[in-house]
Amino acid sequence: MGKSTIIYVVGLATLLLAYTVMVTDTSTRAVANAAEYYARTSSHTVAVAGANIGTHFVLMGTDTASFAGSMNGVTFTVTIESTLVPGSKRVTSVSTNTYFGRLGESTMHDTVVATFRRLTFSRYGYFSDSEVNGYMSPVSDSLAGGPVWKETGDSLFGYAHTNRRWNLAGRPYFDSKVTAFNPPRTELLDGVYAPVLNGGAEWGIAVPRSAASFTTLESIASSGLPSALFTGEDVGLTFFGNGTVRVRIPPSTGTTRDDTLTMSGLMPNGVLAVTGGDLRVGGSYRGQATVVALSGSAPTKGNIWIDGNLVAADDPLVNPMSTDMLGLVAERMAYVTTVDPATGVLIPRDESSVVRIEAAVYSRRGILAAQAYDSIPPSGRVSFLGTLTMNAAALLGVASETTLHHGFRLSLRHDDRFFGGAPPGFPVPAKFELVSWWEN
Amino acid sequence: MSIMFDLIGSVIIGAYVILMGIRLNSNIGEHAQLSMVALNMQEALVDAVRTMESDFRKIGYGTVDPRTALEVTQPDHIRFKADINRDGYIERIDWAWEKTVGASGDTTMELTRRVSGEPAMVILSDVPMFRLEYLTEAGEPADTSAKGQIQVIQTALKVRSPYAVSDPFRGPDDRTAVEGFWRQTRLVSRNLKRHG
Repeated sequence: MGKSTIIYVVGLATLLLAYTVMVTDTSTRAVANAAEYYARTSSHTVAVAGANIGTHFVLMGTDTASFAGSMNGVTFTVTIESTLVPGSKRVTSVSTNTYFGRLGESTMHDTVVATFRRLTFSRYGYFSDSEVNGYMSPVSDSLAGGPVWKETGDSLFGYAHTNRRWNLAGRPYFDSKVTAFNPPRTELLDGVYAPVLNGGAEWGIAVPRSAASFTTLESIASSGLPSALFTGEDVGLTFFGNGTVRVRIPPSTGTTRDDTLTMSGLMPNGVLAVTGGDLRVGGSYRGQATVVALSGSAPTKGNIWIDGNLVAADDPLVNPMSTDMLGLVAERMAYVTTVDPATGVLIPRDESSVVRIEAAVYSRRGILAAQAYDSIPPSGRVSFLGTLTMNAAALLGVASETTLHHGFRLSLRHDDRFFGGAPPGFPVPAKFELVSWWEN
Repeated sequence: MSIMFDLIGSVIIGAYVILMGIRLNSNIGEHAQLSMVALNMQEALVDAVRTMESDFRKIGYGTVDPRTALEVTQPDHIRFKADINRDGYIERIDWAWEKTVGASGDTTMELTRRVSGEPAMVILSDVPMFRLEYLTEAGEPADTSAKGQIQVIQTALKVRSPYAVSDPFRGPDDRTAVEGFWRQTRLVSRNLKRHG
């Protein structure tokens, strides 16, 4: 025994040592994997947290150029800057995490980039400040008030939002996401309350509107050569499919002005505005334009009257790539004309009549409504393709599920072209909105 | 005589020590193999998860209308649109759990990733379970025919080592594949929440 035993023992010990190192290394690598995953997750989470704080600053309008912070030993730096796209901002959050991995101390970074812009209201299929009866007659600003319900048979396409609460009964259909500031007021209809919310719903969201867009539109109209700003008079515009438009002042006689121009000749900047007067529009338009009616010093002015069909020459229903877009922006009401302004006689319509409107409608104090919607006889259907932004709920008629009592039924479809585009100068919300969010 | 005892004794003890060493070597080898297989599987799982998380966070990025970002929403297959490389072009990304037949005729399930119709890349080669659940903002199951409802994606994934190994603590005949499980309960892309 002696030397050979010692050699055996030493050899065995060496073998054991080698395998112990190998096994330990395997364990170390496993722990290092977990540690790296944790470090990466921490780094990512802190970068997202920084971007969230930056987002809050941008949405609240209290943003600064940059700030930094630290969470659980992970630091972050956030920069807020304007981008090359006018009216947009970018928040960039970069986190730095130092951790100990297999190779010793390592540093890890993560980046989140969020972009914000004031998107136009045209991306909403239906927008209202509150779901009440906001009808104003042509001669008075008094409101009927009272809730307007979305019921079984009502369908809204495109994003739908109200700054107060929805009134939902039965089984109304919402094709895209529905938002509101308050949760909805609900009611059973024939024992049913089951709204179809295809895009989901979210409450607690407010999208404030401001009057600043009107000032901008007025200045765009007046800065054209020639100026497209009319003051203190009603203006009639009849659009033609060849890209021209007939201007009549006053609309019924044209005694002050009656001529036909190209769209660009009439409104070089794409915006025409009337202040202290009403606008009457109709026909088939080609090209892009926004027409604006402002109240000025006359409280009951600033209305847009839609005299019959108002459609795009290149029908977006047939050609979704059509570039014809018309914005109707009224400080007060947008009326579908039901009484001939020249004769004062009710326009003859029956339940099979159809009025087609293809436009982006924005009403600051009023709504889209049929003139005298609650007293005229059943007049058929308004087929609306575009976007609606109003102070209250649209009112085209009085109907139950099966019976039309007064006015029109409303067939409302969102024009998806308005999701990414809009007529010139179309109003934007008072605050920024998230348009893209990049995470590694 | 004492020399004879020394020789015989050292041969007996030496033989015993050698046998012990061989047994130890064998055990340590098996254990090391088991650990290595588990480690490889863990590394593969972490890599796959990292890629998946990175992809899913970008759903809808760069698209004009996020309502159309999700194109296929099945429990074992998702297809979405995103500008995944930030190059200004929208890609279509598929993650799918697909059956594959090996050279020996045996079938296994693998997790694949495909970008804009290019050949599918196998992310994990033996995946006994892969499940996608689509949830609304409130965390309730979304109607997958109404893709606009989907705001959160919940993923569950089980991965298995490509070959079985024996566990020295359970006996040399008890050969088993090593498995790992991963679950992400709230994978959200902010781009699905935006309005434009």
